[in-house]
Amino acid sequence: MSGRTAVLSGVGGWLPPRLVTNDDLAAQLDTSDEWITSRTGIRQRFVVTPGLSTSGLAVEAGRRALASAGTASVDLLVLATTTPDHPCPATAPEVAAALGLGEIPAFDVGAVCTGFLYALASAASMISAGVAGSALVIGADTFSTILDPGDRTTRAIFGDGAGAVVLRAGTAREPGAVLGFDLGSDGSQADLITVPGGGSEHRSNGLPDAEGRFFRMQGRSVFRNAVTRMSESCRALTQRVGWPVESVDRVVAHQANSRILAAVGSELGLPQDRLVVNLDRVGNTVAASIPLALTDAVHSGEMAPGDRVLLCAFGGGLTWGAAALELPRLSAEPLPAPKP
Amino acid sequence: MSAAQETLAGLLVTKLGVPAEKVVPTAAYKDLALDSLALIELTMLLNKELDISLGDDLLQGGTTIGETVELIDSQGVRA
Repeated sequence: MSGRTAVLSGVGGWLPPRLVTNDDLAAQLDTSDEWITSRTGIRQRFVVTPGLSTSGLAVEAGRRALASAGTASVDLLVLATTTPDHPCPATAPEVAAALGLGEIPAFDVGAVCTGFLYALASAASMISAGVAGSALVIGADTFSTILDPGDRTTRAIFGDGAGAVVLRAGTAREPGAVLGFDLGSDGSQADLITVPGGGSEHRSNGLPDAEGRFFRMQGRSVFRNAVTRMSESCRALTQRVGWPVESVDRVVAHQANSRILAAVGSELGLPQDRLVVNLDRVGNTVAASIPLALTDAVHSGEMAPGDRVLLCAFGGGLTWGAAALELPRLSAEPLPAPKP
Repeated sequence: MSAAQETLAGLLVTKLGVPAEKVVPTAAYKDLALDSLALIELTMLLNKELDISLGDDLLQGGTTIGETVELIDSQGVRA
């Protein structure tokens, strides 16, 4: 990338107030803390309370990212979500209004767990093209609203949350410049991660909305695809931006499962401590996971200015992607730590 | 020991932490404390090491090490 480039200037995240521990799930379902922790690395997650939906989480994360960037206004808002407030319209305009951002362009992007990277690429491209001078990119999801209450696997994995970043126009040579993307999809495997009902296909076939309304995924094939696609995407992007893989300081991968993260690190030949991990505290928060992990790592000092950072994700679609940047000097508020 | 047997035993011990003395043909994966994600990890490692294409759901908890060697051999890997 040359010329006008999007530069990262702020990060923030937010978690809803209700904490659900593994023991809480074990009290309702045939599972245990040991079973969940050994299979996923997740110890707790947060879920929305009645009345709180995706837009509410997105607004809080957006507010924190704007504060981190030291600005109250942006030219564009892109929201990645699979759980919008309504099927129509998009949630992004309501979030922009609630944040007092004025009549800026605002739209949703749907790429499930890769959504944040697709949204980041959309916003960064619009900045490079001169369509916008700055952007708020939010990943927000409330998967607790689409999970089968009786499914011990998905209920253990997913949590609700929102994370956001602010981009501004700059040059490729300055710290925080988003140096490139690798994005892809494979719709022939759409069935691996799906909410089968509630859309035009079921309605056109006369099927009731209640049928197939819950999220489901095929664990083993998802695991294989996640590891392969994320590591291949990271490898392809490092080649494109001219970084030897071993020179990458931190990988902020979609927080799907600790064993997927370990396998990605191993495929890339990177020591495990280069992978940022916060899923033990928040679970898999879908589109929110990368900006939440980034916020956590910036706040804790786990990532330092100048670090070569790869963001990478894999999700339903199938979709996958990676982004490369050198971390600028940033400050981030700590993620809220709601109590039971 | 066939190439398949040797590779499988090596991966179980070095990558999946199974004690070497437990790697015997009659042992089933559930007896080795390998869960479904460990079995897809093993499948991916075998496919990569031996250049074969075992399906994602082929290895189950009840599958034994001996049966796995037969599955691999049926894909044309022989010592």
